[in-house]
Amino acid sequence: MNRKNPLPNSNPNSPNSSMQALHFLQALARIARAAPKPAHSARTRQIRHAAYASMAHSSRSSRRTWSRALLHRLRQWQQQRPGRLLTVRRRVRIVTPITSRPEEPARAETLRQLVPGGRGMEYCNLLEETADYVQCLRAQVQLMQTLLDAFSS
Amino acid sequence: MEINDKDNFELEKNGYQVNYQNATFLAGTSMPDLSWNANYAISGPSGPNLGWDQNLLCQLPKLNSFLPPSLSDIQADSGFIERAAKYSCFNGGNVNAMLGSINNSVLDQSKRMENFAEDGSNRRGLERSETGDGASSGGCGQEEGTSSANAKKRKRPNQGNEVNQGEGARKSPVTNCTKDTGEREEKGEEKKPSENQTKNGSDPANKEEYVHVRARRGQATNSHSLAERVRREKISERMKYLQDLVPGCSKVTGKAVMLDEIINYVQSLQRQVEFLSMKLSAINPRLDFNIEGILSKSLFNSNVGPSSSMGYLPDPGQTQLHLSQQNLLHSGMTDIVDPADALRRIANAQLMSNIGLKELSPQMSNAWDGGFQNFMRGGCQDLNN
Repeated sequence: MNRKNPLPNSNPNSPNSSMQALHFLQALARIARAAPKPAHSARTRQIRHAAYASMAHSSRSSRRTWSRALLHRLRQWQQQRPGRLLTVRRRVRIVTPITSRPEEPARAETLRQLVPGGRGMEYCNLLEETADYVQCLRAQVQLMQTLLDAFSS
Repeated sequence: MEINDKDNFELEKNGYQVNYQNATFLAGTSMPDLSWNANYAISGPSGPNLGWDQNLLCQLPKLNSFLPPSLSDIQADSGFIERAAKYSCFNGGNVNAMLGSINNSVLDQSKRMENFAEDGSNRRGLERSETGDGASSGGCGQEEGTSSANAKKRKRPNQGNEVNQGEGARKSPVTNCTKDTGEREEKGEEKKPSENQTKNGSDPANKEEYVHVRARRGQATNSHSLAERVRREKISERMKYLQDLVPGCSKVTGKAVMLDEIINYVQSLQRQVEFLSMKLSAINPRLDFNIEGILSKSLFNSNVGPSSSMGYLPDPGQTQLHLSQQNLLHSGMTDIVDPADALRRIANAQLMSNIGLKELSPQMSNAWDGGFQNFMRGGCQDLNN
């Protein structure tokens, strides 16, 4: 409860989202500069990675479990993609709780798969991480929407 | 002496260290006067009770002197006995409960001395009289099941608990004594004060973070259930917070439906990110990313909050802006003007709340006013400085 309860902040001018936006824009610029050739799908993937990376690097979420797990996942994606036809599946971590706690609802497992790093967490922390993740996701979506609107208008 | 051993065994089993030591000592030294006094008190009416108390009080220090290892407990007992002396009113069971809870050691001695013929009379006294300290143990109600293994019905209050608690024992009314004692033995001792208070209903529902969680009125006070309740409340608080975040969930009640909504929302957001990235990648070849640089710079200037970003960003920002400026100058400007206007509108709105770089902001605002291309040149000059 000490670090919890930040106000739901959807303000685009807040420092959190501005850092996120800056990261994303820089990544976009880098993509545009560095890759004149790429296929549409490859570029889509790069932009998606850039989006997640900027989310993970935002100031609010840098301390969170999901951001670290997300960066880890991104690194995996980026490492195994270039030059490999077969993507080697990593072994699933065996950190799952041995007994699914009785208080957890049935859909908790789905939520764990959605939120990065959600498998090793307790349900209580999972909800907290989900809240932060949702905030960052929403900010990212708004940012990309704004960019699209700005570019297409 | 096997009798003493038997005493030891029983009392050890019940954890009443003080008691059996007292008992063995008394049995060993055969202080019959104590038990005799107790008997006298039991059998007699309420008259000599006070005297018996005082006698006990006088005699206990002697006990203290004699019994080496359990001094602290005995002193606790003497404290009890003193309090008992204060509380000595002769209302049947109440007094007996209090006093019995205090006078455990002495009464145990009096009860447990099996080498004395007074055992039978002890029991009779216990069952017979309500007043009197000998029966105080009985007054509390019952012996709690784990107590004596011997067949004799020793009505004994929660003496062990009282002894262990020391001063923590409350002289709660007898009516609660039974339930309290019954539950005390099951649950941890640290919950007893809270339990007493919940039974009395005097405390408000007072709950703190990790330490000192109090049981609320009418709720189980098992340590497990308390922790579970804390956890459940944490979970419900976080669910409420999520309910605020996720749009359209204010009407929904119930954790299962909420969870479904949350999952749907997260999935939809992730899908949106994919979709928007697809669209952005489609747009990218059409536009130069000079706009990105400009927008990043303007965003950076207008929204800079953490100083870390200020330290971190200028270098890549400078390089990118330099390149972007070159690109812009080389490329055709007409394509970019319209979106640049849109971006300028956005950036203007953000520049209103400019708290950023001191050296860049005045030139930025000037350049902004001077038009887009002027701004670009001015901005890049600033950056190159």
